[in-house]
Amino acid sequence: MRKAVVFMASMIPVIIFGAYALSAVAAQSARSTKALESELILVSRKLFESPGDWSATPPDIGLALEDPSGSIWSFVVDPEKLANLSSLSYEEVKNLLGLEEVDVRISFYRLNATLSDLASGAPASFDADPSLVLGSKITKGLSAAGYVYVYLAGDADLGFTTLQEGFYRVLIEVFWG
Amino acid sequence: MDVEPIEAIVGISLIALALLAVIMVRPNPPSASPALRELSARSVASTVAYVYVWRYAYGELNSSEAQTALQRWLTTISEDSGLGIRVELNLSNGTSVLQTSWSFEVGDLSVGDVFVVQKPASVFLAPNGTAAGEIIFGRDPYGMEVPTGVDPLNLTVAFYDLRSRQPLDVGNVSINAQYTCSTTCPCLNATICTLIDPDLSGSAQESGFLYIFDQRKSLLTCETPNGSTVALCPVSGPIDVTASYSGETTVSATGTGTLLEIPMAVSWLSVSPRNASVGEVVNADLGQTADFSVYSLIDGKVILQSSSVTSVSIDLSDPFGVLPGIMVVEADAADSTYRNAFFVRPYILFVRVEMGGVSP
Repeated sequence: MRKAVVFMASMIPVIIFGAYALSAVAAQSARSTKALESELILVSRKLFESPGDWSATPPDIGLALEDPSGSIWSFVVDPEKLANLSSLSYEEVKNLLGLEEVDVRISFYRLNATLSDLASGAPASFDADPSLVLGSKITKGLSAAGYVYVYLAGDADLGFTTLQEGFYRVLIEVFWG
Repeated sequence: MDVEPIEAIVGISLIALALLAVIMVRPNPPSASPALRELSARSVASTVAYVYVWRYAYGELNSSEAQTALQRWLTTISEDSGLGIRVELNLSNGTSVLQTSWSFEVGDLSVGDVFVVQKPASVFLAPNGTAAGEIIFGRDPYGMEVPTGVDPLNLTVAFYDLRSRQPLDVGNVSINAQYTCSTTCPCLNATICTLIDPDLSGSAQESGFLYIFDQRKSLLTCETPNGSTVALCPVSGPIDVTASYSGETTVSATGTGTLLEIPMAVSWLSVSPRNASVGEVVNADLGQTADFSVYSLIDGKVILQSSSVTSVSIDLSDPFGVLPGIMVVEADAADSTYRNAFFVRPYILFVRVEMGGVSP
């Protein structure tokens, strides 16, 4: 009898784990990694390949630089637009990106050399820690991540910090879970 | 071995927790899927195009610096991502694309999938309506031989938009030059001095959106009481030139040449064609040995140097051997420095990126 009780008590954590695992797998099957990748690419297109329209209501939150002659430079970040983006709340950013069930986090890793440094042949690498993180602080569940390489076309005064002009590696992560 | 009940419960709980942690821990490395790799490649192409147009063609980097900067940038990306990268820069005049004008490869592209992205970028900034003009003197200094004559005032004038660096629309250009003349009258016959006139004026001829002036000032001389012949007008000294353009706007340019009593020019620096596209070869010929340099009229950036030659061929196929806008050809010869000019029409840069391999 005692052994039976012990056996049943030891099965409790296994049953709890099993139930959780089944529910998690069942939920994950509703969203594949490919679907999350599509969301990631949409986020990238909207932010880094579109100049947006920050004067509209609600704003169209693109970061791509528009030069004085009207050309759009994708993956070249307008520092003023980045400052505007960083001033928005996470919920606002999520809504403006059209994300409903998906969370997003965007991390900027600075290259530790200016363009002049590169031009003189100096070696360079990206900082280990991000200079700026925008988006969700919670990271769990099914996810997709991708890197893009951008140029920040001027110092960006974000209030709480200033991002210097230069090259950045941007990690875009989207989560569902 | 008999296991105590408590030990069994603790052991199974630990196993369950471990398995639970496996499910909850989220793997964080970037995915190597084709779509995401293509995204990275697109971003590389865009940043390369930006550096070329804004930091080299219209920016502060010279040819060598721009190439080094791009090579370092691409090497850093390759080391960071573990992927091989090959970038080609090809030029187009709008009708055809020159093949493999410049390329750089880093990392290993021989294994794994390779994704190719091609991005065009216009090497042209729209005019902003701010016009400027500059006079390029054909010889510095000009020569004169008494009593034979004076070098023609051979010069080229460029009127251009400051932002686009391209010439203004064809218009009318008038030239007014004021030579230095004698302020005394050392002549046996003083009435000759009433003919002193420092002025040389006329119209410049348009050639490939640049304006050419090539008129000769007559040399006024007289005999002195001691029997020698002296120049009255012009004499050695500065030549003040004003060029006035009227067309899509009105703008003028001023400059000062120099006239000295040195032998007159035997040959002049010729440039052809004056209105060039990428892919073409511009020929500059002086007819005597000189040290040649070709540089941007706007920022002085040099694209070609060649020593002790009589002519140069400027091949506009190399992305880092060409700049948009007006270029000056300068030939530093033994007797004087000769100059002429041509301009490069706007062009398109195609950035081709291959990115692939196996991520670590």
